[in-house]
Amino acid sequence: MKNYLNCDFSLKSWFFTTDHKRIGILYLISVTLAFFIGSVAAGLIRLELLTPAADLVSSETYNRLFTLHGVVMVWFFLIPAVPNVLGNFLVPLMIGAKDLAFPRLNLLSWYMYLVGGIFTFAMLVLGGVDTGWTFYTPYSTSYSNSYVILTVVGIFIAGLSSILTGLNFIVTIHRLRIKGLTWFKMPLFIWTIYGTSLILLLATPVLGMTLILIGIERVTGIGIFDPALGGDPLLFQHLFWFYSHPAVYIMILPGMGVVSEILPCFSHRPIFGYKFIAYSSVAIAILGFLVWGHHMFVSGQSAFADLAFSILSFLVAVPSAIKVFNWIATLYKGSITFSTPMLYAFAFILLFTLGGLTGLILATLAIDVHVHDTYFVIAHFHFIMVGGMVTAYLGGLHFWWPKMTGRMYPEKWGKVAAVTLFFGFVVTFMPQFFLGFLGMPRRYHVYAPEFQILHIISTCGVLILAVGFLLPLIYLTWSFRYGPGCIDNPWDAKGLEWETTSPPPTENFLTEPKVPEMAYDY
Amino acid sequence: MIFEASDLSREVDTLFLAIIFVCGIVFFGIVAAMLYLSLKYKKDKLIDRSSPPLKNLKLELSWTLPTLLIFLIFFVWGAQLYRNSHEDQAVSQEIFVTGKQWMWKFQHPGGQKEIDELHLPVGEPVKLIMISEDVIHSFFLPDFRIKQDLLPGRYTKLIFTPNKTGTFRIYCSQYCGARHSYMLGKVIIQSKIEFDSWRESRPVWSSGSQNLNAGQKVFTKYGCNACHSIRPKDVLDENLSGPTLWNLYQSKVTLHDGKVITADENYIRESIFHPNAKVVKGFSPQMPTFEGLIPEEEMQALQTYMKSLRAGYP
Repeated sequence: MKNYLNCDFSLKSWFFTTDHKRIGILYLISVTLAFFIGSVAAGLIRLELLTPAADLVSSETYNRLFTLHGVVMVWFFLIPAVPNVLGNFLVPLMIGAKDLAFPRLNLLSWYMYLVGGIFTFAMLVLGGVDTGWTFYTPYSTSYSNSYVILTVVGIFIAGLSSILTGLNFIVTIHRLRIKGLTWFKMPLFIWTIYGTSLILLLATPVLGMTLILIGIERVTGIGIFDPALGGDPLLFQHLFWFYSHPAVYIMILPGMGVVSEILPCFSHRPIFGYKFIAYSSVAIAILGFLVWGHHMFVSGQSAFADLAFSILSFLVAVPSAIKVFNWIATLYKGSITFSTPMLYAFAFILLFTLGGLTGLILATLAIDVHVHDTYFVIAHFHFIMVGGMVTAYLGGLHFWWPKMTGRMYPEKWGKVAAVTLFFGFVVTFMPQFFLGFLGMPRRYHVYAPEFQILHIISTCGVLILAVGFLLPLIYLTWSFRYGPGCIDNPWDAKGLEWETTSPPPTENFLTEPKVPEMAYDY
Repeated sequence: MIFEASDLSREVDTLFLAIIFVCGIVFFGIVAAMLYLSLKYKKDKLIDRSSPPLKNLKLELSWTLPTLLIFLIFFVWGAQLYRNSHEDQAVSQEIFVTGKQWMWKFQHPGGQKEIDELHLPVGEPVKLIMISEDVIHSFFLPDFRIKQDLLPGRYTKLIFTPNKTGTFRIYCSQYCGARHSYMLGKVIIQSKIEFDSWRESRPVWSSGSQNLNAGQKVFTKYGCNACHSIRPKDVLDENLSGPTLWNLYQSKVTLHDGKVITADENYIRESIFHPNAKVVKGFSPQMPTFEGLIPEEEMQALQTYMKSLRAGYP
């Protein structure tokens, strides 16, 4: 049977495709590549940290490694992964549309991502950038002797890709829902993609502007951020975090959406508290814009600002807590199967909750002053980003893999990988909470010998983690070609995306799908 | 090894443990509920699954409101502690800290200077007035549970009271370039007697015998006295074109646009480097800038001198 994969095998048909599903696959390949580049950098960092002294790389190289890791992971993996891979593939299918509202814009957005990636890769080849992914001024503008401009141009272009994607999703969700699919019948994944798109559209321009200002100050010497030139370095931090904090929610919201799809399917019952989960996504998207100052508690901003941002940071945690409680309640009176995607969903809930709870510790002013810029923060955001977002992404990838490829992955290996990842993750990042509380600052190439034992445990965790990431890479690649074929709806899942064949035809639905009475009509 | 080297350390640790305790209970509650429910309702179990509930407002409120309440308690507790420890107060130990790639420079009120080492007496509150000469650094004292960024071009402050003698770590915790992880130091807390004898033994590096005298010299070196009086307004000097500096520090100053500000270290610094930024009411903007002319060390001596211009000093 003809489907979107086998309708045309030419390279041209891939590189000039406007089919959202094919663009989703293009993104899948590119973000996987970015992930492995970022991971190699992380691996080298952890290897260097096995001993307190500098032995593997020089300080200059070490600083370039963690910058590379941050830049690539944040802008070329975490932000695009769920929206651009799963979102691209699923949004039209889930709302019964033929494609996104602007298919060609969608392709342009992938090319933007690619061009941005090439700039960033060029930076890497030429010798790297050493500012940290945060580009704090005046270091980045007046002191760093590395490829700052090339990197910010790369990120700027990738940012355009984000904006186009966000715009495309918002218009699609407003305009292309199949008749009868009202807002409160939409899958919760669509709600989170909608919230994410709002942030992409509203916050990314601020990042673009800020990066341009860095470029202007660096090239022309016009004082914007450097006090020696008449600028203000805190202005940069305000602008940067005004984007970069909401960006955290760009990364985690779609992950929450994925979990909200997996849980009802493998509990085989409708989700509990649909409206609360839906509204909490919107609440997170809005409140997420009002908490950026919690990155600046020790920066020298006013004490009043510290207080305001502290309480707002507590408030933004409430909708996340609501989601977790509703997910747990969804298990009640369900019929639960422990398939691979469900294992990932469970891992997500555990790790995200730990990440969230340690976030509360960071929102508490007096404690943040101590653990700010230490490994405690590193551990906290990796619990959210890797434990939360990457876990959800992998869960989603497994869940919709049969839909995307028409093939199954080996279930046994899937479970092994999920469990390996979970334990690898905990072994890697749990010790970093202790390191942080004991006073180990972040971005340290060499450190006091007293921290070594915890660093060794953390580095050992990376080995387990690496196995956990390589397994899916291997068996999913294998499955794409050789995996056993599957029926259209192997999970017995609900949702419009399962109302068509797996993999779907180019036009998504051969006959108009029937809109169910409610979402998750199990 | 981490120490509790101030009262604040203990209070922060108590709060930290309290939050960990509450979060621990919540987390294990979630784990227990997840395990219990997912095993109880495992697919192959024969169990009543009829009409699973889809929503329950009371239940939603019963987990949202307590969550909110607990969050508010954490917030108030943390904010209170933060406010108490950040309250600006007059202290006898006022020390200038200068961060630069990649070292810490300290200047005691008596003019004694140290690099990467800071001697302090136990039990006496100390105020650090900090500035960076290049990029942003952060002064991190893990054993005192405090840190504060150092900005170029502007002073930030840190106040704490050591309650233990011993040697404690100083880290730079804001990434500042190639040798960021080598930007370390020690704070050495001594008994009052030991500290005093240490202080006596130190040579005073400033040109004068004291920081204060050094400041006075800087004051005349740059010709500040040509326009600024250092005596009370009603005494003399009506013909000088600038406002008097007598009693300036910590006083309320009315600017030409009617705004009233407090003359702190940052105001004094700004008025020397950017004289037109805040012009005092009744004066014309005619002072030249001294930016790039006065090095940080002289600026710090000058600050000390300004503070001395009041009745009853010290």
